[in-house]
Formats: sequence, structure tokens, C-alpha cells
Amino acid sequence: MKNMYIYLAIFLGVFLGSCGPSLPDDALILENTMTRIEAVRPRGELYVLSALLEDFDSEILEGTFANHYAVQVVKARCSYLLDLEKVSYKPEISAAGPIIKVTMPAPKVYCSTQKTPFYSDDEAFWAGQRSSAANDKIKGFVASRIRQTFDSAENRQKAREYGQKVIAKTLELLGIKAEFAE
Amino acid sequence: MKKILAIISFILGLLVGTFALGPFTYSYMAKQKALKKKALEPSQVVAKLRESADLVTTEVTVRKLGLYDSKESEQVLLNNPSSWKLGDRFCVIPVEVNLKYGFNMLSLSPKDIKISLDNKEIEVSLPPPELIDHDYGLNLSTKAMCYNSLLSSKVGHELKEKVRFAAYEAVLKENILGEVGGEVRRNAQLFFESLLKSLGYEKVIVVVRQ
Repeated sequence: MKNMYIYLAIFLGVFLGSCGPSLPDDALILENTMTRIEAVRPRGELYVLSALLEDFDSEILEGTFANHYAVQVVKARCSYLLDLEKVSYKPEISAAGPIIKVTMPAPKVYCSTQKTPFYSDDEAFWAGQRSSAANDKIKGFVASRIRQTFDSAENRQKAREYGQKVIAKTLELLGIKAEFAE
Repeated sequence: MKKILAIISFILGLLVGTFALGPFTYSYMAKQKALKKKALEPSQVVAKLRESADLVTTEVTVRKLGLYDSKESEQVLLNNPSSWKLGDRFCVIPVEVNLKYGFNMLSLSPKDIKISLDNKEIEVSLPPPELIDHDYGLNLSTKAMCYNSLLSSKVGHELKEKVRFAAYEAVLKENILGEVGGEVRRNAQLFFESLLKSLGYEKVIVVVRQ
């Protein structure tokens, strides 16, 4: 009989405790928010601002009777990669409800050379003028310039903004406002 | 005495239940509520996906070099054979083409959505990505380069613009999607998977049709 009172009391207590609103708990709300974010957050890697870029370097050599000229073209593919697994979400309680402070990793730039066509007025002449090492050096120089011009502050900002847009929209679907740390 | 003990036991049980076990139960119930899915009709899922169509667009920049050589009968040359030799009047003119790829979500229909009977799994079959917008502009990072021998005339502005426009048209004819299609598909899958999980589905499969 005595045990029955205890069981009844515990049952009643659990019922009252599980009613929640009578026990407001910010930590619980934040934990709940994190559970929801973890369930739906975008995962994997996001490629943004993809580009297929051609650039060139030209050379003109003055000859006795005529000039010689050559154009080295390099085609490269570049894009930014956002590692979504490294995005951190930190929930906070504000007057308007839970907000999430989101910190994103810096976008990483990737460039790979695809083609390197070479045009000249006289292939035999240029083959004698340049060693393959010198040719590779010119190709490397053009490829490096492609990467430098692509990886500008403006493009980095664009890549970040695209990532922020995707994350903000995902959190918005859960009714959560995202704030991005700079 | 027994009554007092019973009352004390009752109060203790109530306190333990309320403060020790209650919050855990609340937390569990709250999590379940948060993850609880709403049963949606395929047509409602289609509407949700269409609302976010602008977020699954992928912008691609293509910088193309338009090549001009007077030796080739004053024609604009773009696809040059390896045997091509430069003449005494030629130009290399860059053009930057902005392409936007996306999905025609109007062609998505409820029959492209498959939902399991228990509403836990969903499979969406997206239409293939397509070019939805394009334009071109002057490229500032790479300058045009023209050469002419003493005996030949300079390449004028009008001809340079012709080369630039021809390069733009050549880009539109190229199979750019063949090169960046993987990224376009992956970005769409990534976002739509999150969107569908937010609707409560535990297992989400997003397929992009070829």
C-alpha cells in the first residue's frame, strides 16, 4: 500500500515535470534547438562561384627579316569550397526567441589546369628558342595569375555570402534566425 | 505514524518525480515533437521545393579568349587546330561570360515525389539542370592583345567587338554543363536534403535526372 503511494507520487511528479512550461528552462530550449539544427543542417561540401578561365602570355622576338610571335594559353577551372562540416552553430536566447550564432570557415580556393594550347608563327623556331622547362615556367606563371585574379577579396565575399544564404535559409525553415560571425 | 510515513513518501515521490525525472521526460517529449513530421501531400512538397528554386541556382563564370588571325581569311577563329600558325595580324581578346544554371521547377510534378507509407522516407526526382540566364561583359583582369606587322593595318574597335561577341556565342554552344554539372547537381541535392529533413523526413533521397 505504501509503495503504491510512492509510485503514484512519482507518476504525478513526472506528469507535472513533463508539462514543461511550469519549469521554464533556457538550457532545454537551446538543447532542443541544437537537436533540430543537427537533424537538418546542410552537410558535406558546397562548391560556389565555379569558373572556367582562360588567360595567356605572349612573346614577340624581333628577327632580322621578320618578327616571331607566340601565344601561350592556359585554361583552368577554379571554384571555392565551403566545408559545411566545419560550420559551428551556437544557440543563444534573445527576447525574440532562440537565435543561432553561425561561424563559417573561410572558403578554400581550388584551381586546376585543364588545357595549355600554344600558338606561334613558327613551331620549329620556338621549339629551338625555349626548353620544355621554360615552357612549363610560362604555363605555371599564367596558371598562377588565373588563380590570383580569381581569388579576389570580392569573390571570397561572394562565396561567403552564398554559403550564408544557404545556411540562413535552412535555419529559417526551422523558424530560427541566424547571425553570422565575421 | 503509518499515515505520516505515507504522506512523507508521497511528498518525496512527488518531488523526485517533478524535479528529477520530469525535466528528462519534458526534454525527450520536446525532442520528439521537434522531429515529428507533418504528413504532406506530394503536391505540397512540390510547392515547398518550388519556393526555394532560386537557392539551387549555380553561377558559373567563363573567361574565353577570342582569337583573330588575318591569315585565316579575316575570319574569327575560335576552335583552332594545333597546326594553326599565327599570321602577321592577330588578336587575343578575352570575354567574360556569366552563366546561371538552375532547375525548371515548374516541370516538377507530384509524380516526381515518392513518400513511404509511414511518412519517414521521401525520394524526389529533380529535372535535369539547365541554363537559365546568361550575359557577357568586358574582362578587366586580362587585357586584349593585338599584334600587327609594319605592313599590315591595326585591328579596329569594331572588329575587336565582333571577336568578343563571337567568343560569347561560342561559349553558349560549348557543353559547359558537362564540366560543372556535377557541382550544380550536388549543390541542389545538398540544399533540398536539408529542406526535406526540416519537413520531418528521416531518410531523404534527391535524384537529379540526366
